[in-house]
Amino acid sequence: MSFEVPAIPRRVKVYELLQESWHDRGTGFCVGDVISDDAYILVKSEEDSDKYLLETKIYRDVQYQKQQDTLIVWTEPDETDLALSFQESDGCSATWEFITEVQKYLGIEDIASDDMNDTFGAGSFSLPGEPTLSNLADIERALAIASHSQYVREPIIRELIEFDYLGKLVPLLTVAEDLESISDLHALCRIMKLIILMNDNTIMEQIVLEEYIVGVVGILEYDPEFPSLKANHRDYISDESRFKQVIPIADEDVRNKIKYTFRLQYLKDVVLARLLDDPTFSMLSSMIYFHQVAILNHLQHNEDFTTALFKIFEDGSSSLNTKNSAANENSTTKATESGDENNALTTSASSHGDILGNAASTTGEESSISQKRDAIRFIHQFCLTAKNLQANQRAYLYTNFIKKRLFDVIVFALRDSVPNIRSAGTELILAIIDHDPSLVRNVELNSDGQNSTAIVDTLIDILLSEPDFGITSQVAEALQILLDPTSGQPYDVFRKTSDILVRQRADDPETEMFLDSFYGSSVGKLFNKLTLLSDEDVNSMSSGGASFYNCLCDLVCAFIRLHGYRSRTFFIESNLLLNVGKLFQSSHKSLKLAALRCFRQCLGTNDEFYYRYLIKSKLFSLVVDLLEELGNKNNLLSSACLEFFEFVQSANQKPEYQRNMKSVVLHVVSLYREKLESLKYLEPISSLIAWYDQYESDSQLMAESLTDGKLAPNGGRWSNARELETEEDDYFNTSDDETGADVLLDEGELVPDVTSSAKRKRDDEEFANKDSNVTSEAKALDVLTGSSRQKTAFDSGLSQVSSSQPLSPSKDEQNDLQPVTTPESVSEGIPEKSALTSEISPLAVLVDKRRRQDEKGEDDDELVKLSLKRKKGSQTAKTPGKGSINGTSGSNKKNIFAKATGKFNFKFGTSKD
Amino acid sequence: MSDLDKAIGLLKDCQIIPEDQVRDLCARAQELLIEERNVQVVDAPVTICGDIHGQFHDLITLFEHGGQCPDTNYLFLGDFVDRGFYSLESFLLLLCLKVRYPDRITLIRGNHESRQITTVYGFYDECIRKYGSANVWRYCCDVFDYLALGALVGGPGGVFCVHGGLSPAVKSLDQIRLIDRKQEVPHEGAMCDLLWSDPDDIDGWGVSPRGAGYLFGADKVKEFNHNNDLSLIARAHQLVMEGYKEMFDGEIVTVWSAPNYCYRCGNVAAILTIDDKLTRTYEVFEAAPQESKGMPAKKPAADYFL
Repeated sequence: MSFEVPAIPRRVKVYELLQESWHDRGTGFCVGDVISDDAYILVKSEEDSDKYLLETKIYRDVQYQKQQDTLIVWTEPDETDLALSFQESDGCSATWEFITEVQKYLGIEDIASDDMNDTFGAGSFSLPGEPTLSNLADIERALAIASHSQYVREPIIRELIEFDYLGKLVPLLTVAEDLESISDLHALCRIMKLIILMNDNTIMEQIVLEEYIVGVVGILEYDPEFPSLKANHRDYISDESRFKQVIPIADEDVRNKIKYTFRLQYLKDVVLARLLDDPTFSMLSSMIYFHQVAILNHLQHNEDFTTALFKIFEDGSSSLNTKNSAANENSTTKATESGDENNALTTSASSHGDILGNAASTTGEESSISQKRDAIRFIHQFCLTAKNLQANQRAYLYTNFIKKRLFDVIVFALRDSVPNIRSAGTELILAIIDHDPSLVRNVELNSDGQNSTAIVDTLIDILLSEPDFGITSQVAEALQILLDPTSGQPYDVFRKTSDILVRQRADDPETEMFLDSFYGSSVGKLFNKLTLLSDEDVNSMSSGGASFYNCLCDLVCAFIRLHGYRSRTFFIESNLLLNVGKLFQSSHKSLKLAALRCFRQCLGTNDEFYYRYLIKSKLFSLVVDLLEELGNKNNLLSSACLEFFEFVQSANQKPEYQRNMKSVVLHVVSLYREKLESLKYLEPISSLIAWYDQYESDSQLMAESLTDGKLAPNGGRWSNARELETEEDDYFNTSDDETGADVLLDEGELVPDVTSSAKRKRDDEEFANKDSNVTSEAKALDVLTGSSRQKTAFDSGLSQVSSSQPLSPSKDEQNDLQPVTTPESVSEGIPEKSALTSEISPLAVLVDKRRRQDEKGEDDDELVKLSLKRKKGSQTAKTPGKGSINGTSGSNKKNIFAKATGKFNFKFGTSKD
Repeated sequence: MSDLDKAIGLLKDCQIIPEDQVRDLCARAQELLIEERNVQVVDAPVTICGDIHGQFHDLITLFEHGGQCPDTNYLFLGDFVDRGFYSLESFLLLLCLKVRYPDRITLIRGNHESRQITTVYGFYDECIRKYGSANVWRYCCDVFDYLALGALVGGPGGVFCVHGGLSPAVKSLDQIRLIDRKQEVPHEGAMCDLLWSDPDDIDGWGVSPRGAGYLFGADKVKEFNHNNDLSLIARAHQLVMEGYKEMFDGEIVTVWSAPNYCYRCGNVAAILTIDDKLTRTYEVFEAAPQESKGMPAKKPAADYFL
């Protein structure tokens, strides 16, 4: 042996991998040595020159890796993982050269004929030329090394592709299966997993090809992690019948893409579900996404295809079917309700046939209906997938489909007898509304004559007759979003939380017309059962009935919130709210709750017409009685009652509510005082009575001072209120709506001007600020959404409670906190890292930020105090000793090393960080 | 054998029950839950469990360690669903047990028991895959709205249990009573904070990096415990590699019950038993062995057009 043996000692650190982390064996000096015919690497400790930190022979079979400029990593034959980290890069390269020379020498001597070695050069690394069952272990080892070294990964991937390694591996499956060699099958599976985790696009594209996919999933059936189980992927993936074509797709390329997408999805969700790491998962997802976009774009721009698709619904019999099947909906539905889909198919097919006057269902008829259903499923899947498209592509899609009478298709679906077709119909509507509700509203308005509100009326019909409660609630949701004037706007997330804010767009004529048309004709039908509700109905109500009325109550709440005067006029004139009151007698507690929430929603409007109606109809007595009946019980219902009175009571601190609510307080306490007294141990009730008493004594004082001819005590809080009250009484004696509106607009300025006790005023202003902040947020939103504010009412309820705490951190503090909290932001664990910032929609974050910024402008003194305190706090927060909760503390030293070694950190078990 | 016991049997085998049974189950659960307080009172001894996140087999392991329901009295701190592959089976099993043994198991709401969150983090997709429609998801979400927001274990000096943590809007437990909890988890306010906040080494309140809820410091924990005569706040919501972690002189603890979270975090899980003398006993356990889990996978689509 003759090599240039690196004799100059090079400073180096020796690491050994113990239980997934690298341990420092010490620092020393590295030299090479050749003793008899063996080459060695020796590291002498720098502290104790007699001690060797490392004495290791260089083997032919060991895969040494050089990483960065200063690192050499390998696994000893006894499975010990070692690493040398050189201080200088030339020390590393000298040692590296020595190793490669030795290996070349050993290699040439032993397997001189192996030309693969030459192809890839010494010291680099390659796969065994031809995969056979006998060299599976070598392949696996090579891939395993490649998987944690970028250095080796690239050439291996190139090799995998160039030599069609997959094509050569796949046939081994049959061989191993024939031999019933489970160990080889497991090895093959491990190899396949490693290949997939190489995370290479080209390889993945290859895998889903016709000629590979069955073999690949076949190999993956023998998962060594589940030695006693075997999956059946091959049967599943090779079942061509799963791919259905309603209208044959001419383009082979697209047909293939559809199959590839399906296979990728199957790999992602089923075969590899547990195996995938984040990069491979996102590679699969993005491959699927790009395929889908290509498919959808091809098909939606293929005029012949879309025309043929919608033509399925156009033939003579279909329109007949649509009408007739609607007429026969109830009978067919009942027949098929419990049956599975196949039964349903035949039953309904025959009933369709009967309608047409055929004695028995003809084959043609049957196939035409199942073809229509398939077409609906196809369109359904198409539109759901299209949610991933960009907005302009989706806009084209829907406009095009709607032009081809998509809505007729939806109406057909909604009236079908098979539940999941009806469900597909509602989901289609929801998908369109999601994209742009005006598309639906416009069609409603544009279509003339009999069809004028076809969709809404169909939805209402279904809501009233649908036996499947899942669909009922879906339909209710569709109706609600469709009729929500704020939906489809960037901030429509606010819909979801009823108590945040109310906006109404006045300047969108289409929405206005749509609502007019709804309140003109459809609303009566929708709420018919509620307006006709009798006490007897309430007493004999089934739980299914209760769910239905629950749905209606939810809609009542939504419409009260969203439709201003329109819904108010209807709800009051139809006496619907009176009947909602009857639901308080229901034995179904959830229905009582639903009814209570309707009233609570009325209060939230701050609309005195509702207030007066509730007072006049003595509907508050129901809530008082309910609370009394619940007595000491502490449950959801009693909490909801208390929240109701807490909202009433807290209006005393909310200028914009105070005036209207006072009439409620006067009414409630004077009429139900006795009952309330017995409930006085409940905080909101005692506050309510206190407000009333305060008012009484103040007005008495006022009356006395007036009779005495003295001036009112300077700025008495309630003296002004008294004047106001007189004004209000006058107002209540007239019923002129216009005056009411004016007074409403003025009230905000009237109340806060009252000054008596400085403390009191300060409190008031704090609340006023609070509320005006929120109102300004609402304004800002309105500006953003391009709508002018007709009337903004803010229903704070809960948020009022929170807003009374001047605790929001100052901006300074936020900045201070940021770096401190960053390491902690992995707190819900590694995969939650993104979740911490993304679990709440970006919008919510935005709103939250705005809220905090708004709150910043509160009280200056308070702010100074807070930020001083907070600054102190944030400094202490910087002290170490945190982080172990997320398991990162242990990784500190690893990170230091990882920083030095770059890509090497894959091996340190911190890759998830 | 009642239908319910049959359903429990099926679910314990990790099989789903038919859609109409889910509907009935959810309706019965709602009737029970509507009677519960916002802060439900639970008698000691009780075993408190943190996030489950659809890791069904680990839930079964949990019952093996903690004892079967109803032999052991359980309190689950929410986040039953999302992320794992068996949210449906996990939640339905817990719900069945709730309906079957209402006094022996308490479920409170986590931030993942929400329509918005479940549509993003897996539960919604799982329902669609396993039932072919969103109905079951809707039924479950309706139940979520009825879940209590917290629980109180033991009398004076007891344990307040909540998924996330404290809220600046809640000074006393009584204030929680004034929440009408039957609603989607709001984006702010007391109800939101209880489900979203985290303790942190700060003074007072801080902005939460999660975008909802707050960070709260030791001072706030001690103040709250003092004012409400509590010795401990037991919460979940954050992964703890060691399964549990006490902070602030043992006045708050995070309990995490999803071992090897997301099947790859490598953490252990823990449950906390509070006995009638309010003594805390932690039991740590590891993920169920791979073998017992069967082949984890999502159910593939039956037919496809695209």
